[in-house]
Amino acid sequence: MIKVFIESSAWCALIHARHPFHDQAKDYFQQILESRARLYSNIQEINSALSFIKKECGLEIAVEFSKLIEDAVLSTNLRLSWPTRRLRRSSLKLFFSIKESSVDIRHCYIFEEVRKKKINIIFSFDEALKTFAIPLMPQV
Amino acid sequence: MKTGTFIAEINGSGNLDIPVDIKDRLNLTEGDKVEISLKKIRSKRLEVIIRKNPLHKILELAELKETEL
Repeated sequence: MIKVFIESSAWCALIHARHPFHDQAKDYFQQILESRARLYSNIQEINSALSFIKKECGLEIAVEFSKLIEDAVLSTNLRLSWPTRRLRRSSLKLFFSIKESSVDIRHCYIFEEVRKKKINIIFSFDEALKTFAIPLMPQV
Repeated sequence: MKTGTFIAEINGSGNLDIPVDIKDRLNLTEGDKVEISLKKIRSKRLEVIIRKNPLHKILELAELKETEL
């Protein structure tokens, strides 16, 4: 079973109809739902997406999105993680070892989680994640 | 040893149906012996679990937003 990590830019593109990658995001999301891939995200990515959605799409859509995420977690259709101290340590270590300025600590958290959980694909439109040489989908 | 976990509702006569995907995954056929451990869960949680993957509604939410714009 394919494991897919959903990063905040993908959540944002899915919900925001005027996002430049909205159509690509919808098509790819439908594809991964149909293939019954195991989906992962973390609380930082969801919070970041929620802030964006509230700002760009309004409070009502943000509340609905939050409820759907909760239901998905409860029904184990989405595995949502909270950062642990160990993950923070390894992410910080990685962050300080990377010279690339476009990579921020959030990207390092994602990479460390993806590596630890042996996740195959990152669903994202964030170019900075290409630094880690993990397949980014969809390709745009 | 192969194991599988599933959520089910007990019917009026106290029976449980094993989902087809569990049967397939464990290659269960008539006469096979299985060990069962039961855990009662809150009905609200069951309702969430047995209905369609709520993430499908993300697409509907996006469509709803599109029609508003």
